[in-house]
Amino acid sequence: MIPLDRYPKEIILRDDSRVVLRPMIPGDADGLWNFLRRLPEIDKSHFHEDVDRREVVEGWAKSLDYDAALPVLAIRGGRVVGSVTLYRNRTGWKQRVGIVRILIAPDHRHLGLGTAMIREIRHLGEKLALNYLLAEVIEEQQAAVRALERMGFGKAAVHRNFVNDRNGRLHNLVVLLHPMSAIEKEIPL
Amino acid sequence: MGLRAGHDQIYFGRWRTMDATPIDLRRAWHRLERLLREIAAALEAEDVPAARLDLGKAFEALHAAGPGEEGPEAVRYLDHALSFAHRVIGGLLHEKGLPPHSPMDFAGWYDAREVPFREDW
Repeated sequence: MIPLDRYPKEIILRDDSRVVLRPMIPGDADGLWNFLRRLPEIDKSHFHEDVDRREVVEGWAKSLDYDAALPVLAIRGGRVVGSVTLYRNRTGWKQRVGIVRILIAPDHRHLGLGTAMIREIRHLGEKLALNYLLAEVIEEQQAAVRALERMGFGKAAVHRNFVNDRNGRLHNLVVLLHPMSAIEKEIPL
Repeated sequence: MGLRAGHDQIYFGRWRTMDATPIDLRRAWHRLERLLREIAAALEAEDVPAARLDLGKAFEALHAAGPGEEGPEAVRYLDHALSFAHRVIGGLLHEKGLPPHSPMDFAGWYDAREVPFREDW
């Protein structure tokens, strides 16, 4: 059971603006689509589908399943300005590993929103008794890498020329891991 | 929140400067220990497991530094402990919906010349 009683949660950013964090609901399709299509190309590289197409995002909104993928949105004045998604496997050998994807609107970077989103996902990861959080970031996204490292993620691997963007260009992929309390108690790192 | 000021007092302390003496280091160690205890007390009322994890690491680093130790290793451990403490304070602020704390916003009060920390994302 995912503990969602902390939402909606209001936070104040570095510029004193107020942002509400809450799980995505079916009615967020438009807001999320508008947010995604304005992101730089490189931030959209990891998506399997073309997120510039409205029907793709509408499809996600209709098939929300928080146990498999929990998207938490950051909303400012009705506009989606950030999202963090925690992906989990219900069964199998990676059921205690949560995969994290964070996206921040370009005009809302350097305000502490990315860090706040990482804090949220760490909280959820702890509550779900996960052993690890795993984040994959393209090496050029240095601000994201630094923010993740500052919040306890460590570089586990850098795969050279491993992923391609939507234009076919190759990029290095940085894999970052965050050991949670459950695993820290078992294995002294 | 007094925790922020407590953090900054250590953050901008003499122990991090090139001309720090063993006494500066010892003083920083004790201040940091006191700060971590205050943070622990504040955390008791909150349900923030990730911050508890960070606090545990802060105490671990502090104990690795040791109260009477000197040299670069001790400074490094103290620095780690302070970073973890800052992360816990950030977690507490986040839980209360307050803006993140950046020590450099208060650098003028401490006569700080360098910019060793900046929130990037």
